[in-house]
Amino acid sequence: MTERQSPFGRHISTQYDEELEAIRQKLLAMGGLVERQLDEGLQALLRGDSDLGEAMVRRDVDVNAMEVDIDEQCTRIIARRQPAAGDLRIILGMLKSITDLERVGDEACKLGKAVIEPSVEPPLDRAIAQGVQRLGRHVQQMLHDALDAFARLDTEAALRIAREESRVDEEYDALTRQFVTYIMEDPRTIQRVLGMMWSGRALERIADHARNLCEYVVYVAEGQDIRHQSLDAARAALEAGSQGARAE
Amino acid sequence: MSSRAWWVELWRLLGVTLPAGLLGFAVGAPGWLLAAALLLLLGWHARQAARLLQWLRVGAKSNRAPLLGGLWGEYVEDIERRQEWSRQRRDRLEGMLERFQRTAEALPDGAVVLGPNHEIEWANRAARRLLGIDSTGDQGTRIQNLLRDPRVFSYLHTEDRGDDDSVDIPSPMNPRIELNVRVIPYGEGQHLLMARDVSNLRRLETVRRDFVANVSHELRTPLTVIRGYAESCTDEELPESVQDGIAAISRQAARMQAIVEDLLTLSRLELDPVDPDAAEWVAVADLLPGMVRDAQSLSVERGHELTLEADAAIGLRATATELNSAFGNLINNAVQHTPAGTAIRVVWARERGGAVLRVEDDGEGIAPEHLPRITERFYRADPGRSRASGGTGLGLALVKHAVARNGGRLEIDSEPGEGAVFACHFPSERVIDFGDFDAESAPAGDGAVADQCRLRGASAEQGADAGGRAQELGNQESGSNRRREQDP
Repeated sequence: MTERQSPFGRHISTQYDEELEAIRQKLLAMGGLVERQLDEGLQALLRGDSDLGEAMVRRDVDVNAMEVDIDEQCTRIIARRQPAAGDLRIILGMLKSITDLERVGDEACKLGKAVIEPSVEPPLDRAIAQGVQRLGRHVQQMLHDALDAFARLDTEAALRIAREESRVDEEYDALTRQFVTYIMEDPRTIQRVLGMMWSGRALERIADHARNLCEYVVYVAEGQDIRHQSLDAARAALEAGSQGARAE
Repeated sequence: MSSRAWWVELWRLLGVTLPAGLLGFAVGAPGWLLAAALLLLLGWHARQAARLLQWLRVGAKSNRAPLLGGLWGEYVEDIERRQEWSRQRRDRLEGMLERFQRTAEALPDGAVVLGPNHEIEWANRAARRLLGIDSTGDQGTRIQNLLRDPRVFSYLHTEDRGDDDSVDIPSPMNPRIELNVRVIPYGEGQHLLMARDVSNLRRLETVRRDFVANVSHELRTPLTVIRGYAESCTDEELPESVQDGIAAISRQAARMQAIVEDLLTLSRLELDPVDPDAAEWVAVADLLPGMVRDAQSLSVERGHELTLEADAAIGLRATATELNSAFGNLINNAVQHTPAGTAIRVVWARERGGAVLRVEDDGEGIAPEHLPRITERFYRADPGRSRASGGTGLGLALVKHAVARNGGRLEIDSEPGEGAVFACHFPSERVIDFGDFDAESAPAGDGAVADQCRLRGASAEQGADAGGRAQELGNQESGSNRRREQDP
């Protein structure tokens, strides 16, 4: 079997590696928790299960606690080890990622909260629910893949997933148009449809955060900041960068 | 072979020294010539040794073997032979390893070999499909980083997992696939993670449970109606044969109702998730006398001798209704399935590592072939008898489930002809010793414990002579029962 060079395993001080790896593991555990929150929030919303919604909203404090914990550990490692170059990028990337993950947790809670609030409305229309479910699955997959890319520091995958975000946007727009036709047909559905619209909005925001995660992956792995660029430009910049490095 | 090489070397020595010696004698300087000849021979040997060394250094390839004479040639041959042998061995091992890997690849379950820190060392094809783990690309990555479900995280970090312990998660590749994941430690710090697709199994289980629950529910109402009408048809002017028939209908409807109720209880036990908040401290010793009384009344005229020994100082953290149904069924079971006059002892006592409820009888016992299956639904050890004695066939299944839901386990021990012992063992974390408590030291706010502490004196007394009293009460009860039967 071949030994793979982990970007986390190239220090003489193995304890340093251990610390970095421990933080990364915590970050991904936080990611796992957030993924589950999203899953349960979505399930609660689609099934109208207020118990599940309440349980998942209550669990949000765990996500917040993990954010604080990781934040503190990152600060400590910066203070103690004074990392440079690649290590600094890893730590900065993780610091930024936890903020996004925490926001994902908050957005997921919005889904759960939507079912807790007392409502005497009739159950959801199937077509609306299906639209939201499709969007939800797409976003879930995107978040999952983004975290996988983070675990593997896989730039290729990260760029591919970031591209998905625009597709989620399109899907969200289509859903909005569908909602508008519902409202126009029967104004009595306004409240219900608006509730679903907010949930769709939360899902769309989660996709944005997942894209941010992908950008941090590229930043950590390649040292290139691709924020606020079109993805094609980002890819071109990356390729130029790697060719430059090869020429040297 | 080595002796031949030895002779060759000896002849070489002689062949060099003898002519040199003779020539030396001829020219008058034998010592010098002999020394010169030996020097030549030594030089030749050194040259051969150097060539051998050089050949070994470049990897001892057989196609570049030096042609060496005598003992040195033997060395080369020997090394070549050994190399050939080890190459064959390596090929064989590699073939074996490859076959082994191919076998593991073909496994339908996902298999991942993990190192000491749970880092991925190897994974098969199914692991890619079910878990999204790529054997080559993900080597060295810790498994928690890819299987991020919080349940896996806490499972991996539980020390001391039991053999059957596993965790169910949705597949990261497809949320519709339900996976059963377990980690088996082996070797030095190695772990094997197995992921099995159990979606079909779970679906089947759900279908079956739902079916049973729905059918039982649907049968309930018609049975109540049938029974109601049958019981109200007590016109004395009807011919006797019709009256008998109606009585039979009423009896059988009551039996079916009992079965349906048991089935519903059972499916509730199976379907409802265990709710840890529902558990409370239960003073078991206070529950038992009532159950013994009920069982005695069930015995009616068959005269079972029931005795109770309950330690009032031990309480159990459990759901009271479930305990009621478990223990009650166990005691009734003993009455129903033993011949008249059997002595039945109910014991609630401390044991090593917790507490135990034992129901012992000195009846006919259970044949060993029935023991493993006796807790199955509708399993009848004796096809004729239990139906006659009025059991539903679900009692022990209920007991097993109810006890398991409260952290305990049911053990049945029996020898034919020597009675049977049904024991519900509960672990120490579920057991509280009221004897250790003073009313003052009981945690504030835990009213149940304080209450039970106050009750201790009373129930201990009850426990001490509960046997006699239960007997007495039971007799009273059966007496009143009889009276009720006589009164139309």
